[in-house]
Amino acid sequence: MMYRNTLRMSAACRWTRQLRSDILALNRGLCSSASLSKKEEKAEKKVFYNPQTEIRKESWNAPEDPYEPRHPIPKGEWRGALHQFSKKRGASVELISYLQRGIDFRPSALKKWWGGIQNDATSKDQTFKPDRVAALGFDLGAAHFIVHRGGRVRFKDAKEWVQQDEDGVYDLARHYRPGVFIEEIDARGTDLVYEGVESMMCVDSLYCDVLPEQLKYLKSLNVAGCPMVDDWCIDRLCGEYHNSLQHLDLSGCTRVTQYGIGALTRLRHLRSLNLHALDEVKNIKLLCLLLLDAFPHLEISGISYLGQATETVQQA
Amino acid sequence: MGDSHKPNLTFDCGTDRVLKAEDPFHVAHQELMDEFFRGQRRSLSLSYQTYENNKDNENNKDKEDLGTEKEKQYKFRRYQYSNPMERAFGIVKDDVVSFFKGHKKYFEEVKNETSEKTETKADTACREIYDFDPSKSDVAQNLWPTYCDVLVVGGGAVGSSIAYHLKETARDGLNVVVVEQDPNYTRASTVLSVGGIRQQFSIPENIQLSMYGMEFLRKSPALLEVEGLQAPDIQFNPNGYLTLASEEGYEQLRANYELQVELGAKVSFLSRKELSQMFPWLNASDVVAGVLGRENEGWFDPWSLLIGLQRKSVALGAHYVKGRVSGIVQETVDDMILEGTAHSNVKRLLSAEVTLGNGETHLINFAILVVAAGAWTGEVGRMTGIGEGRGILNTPIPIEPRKRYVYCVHAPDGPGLNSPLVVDPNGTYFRREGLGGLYLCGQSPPHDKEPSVDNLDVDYSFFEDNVWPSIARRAPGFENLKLRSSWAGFYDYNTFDQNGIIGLHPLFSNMFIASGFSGHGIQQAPGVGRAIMECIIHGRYETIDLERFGFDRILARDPLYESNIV
Repeated sequence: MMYRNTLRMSAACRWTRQLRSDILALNRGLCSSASLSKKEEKAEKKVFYNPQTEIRKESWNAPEDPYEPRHPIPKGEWRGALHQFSKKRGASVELISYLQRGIDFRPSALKKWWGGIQNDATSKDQTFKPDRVAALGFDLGAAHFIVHRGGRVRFKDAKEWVQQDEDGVYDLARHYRPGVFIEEIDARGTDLVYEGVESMMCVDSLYCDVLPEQLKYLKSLNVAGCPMVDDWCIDRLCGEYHNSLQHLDLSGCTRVTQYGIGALTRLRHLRSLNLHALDEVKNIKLLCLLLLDAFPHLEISGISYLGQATETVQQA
Repeated sequence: MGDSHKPNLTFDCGTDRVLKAEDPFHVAHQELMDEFFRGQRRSLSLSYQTYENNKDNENNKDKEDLGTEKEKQYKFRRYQYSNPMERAFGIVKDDVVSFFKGHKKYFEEVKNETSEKTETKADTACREIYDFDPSKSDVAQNLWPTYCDVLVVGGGAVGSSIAYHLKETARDGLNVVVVEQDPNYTRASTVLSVGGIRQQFSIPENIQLSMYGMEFLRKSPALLEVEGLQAPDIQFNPNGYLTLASEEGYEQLRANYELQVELGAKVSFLSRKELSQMFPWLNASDVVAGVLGRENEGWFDPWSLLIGLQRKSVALGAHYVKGRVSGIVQETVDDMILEGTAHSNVKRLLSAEVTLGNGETHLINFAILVVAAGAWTGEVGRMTGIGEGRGILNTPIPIEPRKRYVYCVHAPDGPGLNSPLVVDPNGTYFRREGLGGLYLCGQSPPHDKEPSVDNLDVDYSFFEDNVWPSIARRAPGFENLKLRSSWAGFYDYNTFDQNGIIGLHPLFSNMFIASGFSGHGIQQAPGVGRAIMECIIHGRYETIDLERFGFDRILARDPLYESNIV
């Protein structure tokens, strides 16, 4: 068992090192996960351009370096005394685009702008951070991620839930520990977004094809009241936890539509589903009945899909 | 001015721009400013209280409602007789009150109209977007864009995506005109497609384009939002794609799977036992393995994407013109010499001749032409001489229409909710449609039995002979089904290697081609639009490098094959 765990530990580290493609020292004895998550993501957006390939020249008189930035003043021309200060690539297109947009000072527009900034900050804050996983492993990293944002986590073989107290302090291991698996996640009320679902990734979601049966642990997930959970989040959840999730709580996630709920059949071991406050979803009762067709022992709470049927039975 | 509360595209001759149509703030403000000045002028003419004015005021004193135009005019006359201070303050007070009251009423009217508009049909959608209509007598509707910066031939998903990305980045810097011959989209591939999106390709650029397409769809309510209209409802079903393989195809499937995992696509490789476990309705007896997409795969509504892109482009200032490009004027650029044969003179395209519905022809002069005409790209290419010249011009654009059928069946014993889009080893596919037991299915016919492309008639014998037996063999629940409806659409089929042709043509200095996706165009439309925008504005590909998809591979006879297509 120990052997397998150390193997998995190095697999995790190897995987994240591959991601970051540099040597990453494990952060031993360092600060809490709060500062780990505050570190700016250093991985840049990946562009499909490999600088190692030999530049194949198209013709005998093509220039050496095809990606040389165009100078605003060509080489042979006269340049003023301050030419060193001129921008190499000219004014950026984004700047010119923003200058043309005009500033909308209406209160509704300002509110929307502010909301947009908040959403961008949340997405950036919740993106997957390889550093965290490299230091803590998947399950502990996910636990830190959720507890830091106000959620609760229960580990396998533990009875107590780990959560923040009033001072924001919580008791979670700060180094990688083998044998730690999350069994239940309670992310009620946290403002979980699409990028955050990836940070919540536990080891069984990554290796769900490769791991044997007994290593699937996440049984219950509660995202009630998270306003930004929508069909794409459900897509991600189903994709990551399709082998292990048994209890799912989606109450109050108003952005979920009938298409997202129709995809919940991908969670193969689903046993209970909570759909409170989702009566506005189109065809929700039909969806509940179809889910019962797919999972005969599924318990759906929060929707009275049998309401009319019991009335007609009583009348008859 | 009576029905001017209906928002429509108006051309403001003063500032020489099209006013944003669905911007009620601007329109309401403009109207009220006009009213204000008109009222002021009227009040200055009569400066004493007359008998008639007095009587009017007594009758209308309790009518404080300043919402409609007539009442506004009434109220302004009240101040004809007062002293200047009272008059000034009274007019301003009335203006403010009527502004807020009228504002509320105006917004309610807009809300009622837009809630009707969310169930728009094709003709009402195109009536708002296509601003040139020779049957209209209104001056604003009769303006012809003689000069433009970028002319996009084809107003489907790819064309609208190009227009949207160009206008979003360049705003007023580029004048973009989209020419579409059929605003009702009766033959366009976009709206007749099944709407699937997957990452299970074998070419890295295809995978990246689909991933960006997925990201674009996810952010589309924010990106394609037009004020006053509801954001487009993409209706994404995150159910995944299941590609099955028989004995012969197992190696290829395994190789594809490994490439996809390497590039970051989230897919699972399933053995026959796992397939039967996951999908009990599936008959996996002759299937060895399958690849199931775990994330970012499924199907969506292409109509919503098209309408969303169109509305946003028009709101940003693109012009949609209803017409057919019937000729292209070009000139040879004499001072550029290409290496190659004597026929390699670089040419430049100057203007396009557009034929309208009533037979008139007009010219549009452009700086850059983008051919996104889908199945008819080969035809447009022939207008410029590609395929009808010598040397490099001898090679035509190898894109032609190929007819494909889609059948909608009702099968009460079908797979049910738990079904991805299943692709058989022999090319048959089926997917669930809605919750009522409807399924869409189809198959690519063999090469020698391609149906004729003169019309969009459906061949039912093809369903009974080929498609039904195939899906019934795959899922026995389909044995009991009823064919509900069917339709046919064109693939913009690239006869060379069935992948898109994106980029400049080597001999024309300002012509881009963006077509030929052979059945997977709808998922790559946002990515291709962004790529063409980067080519035009930045001069090179910045995010996804699509150099390999250029026209050069056709000339070099170097095909870029995808190992399996649907």
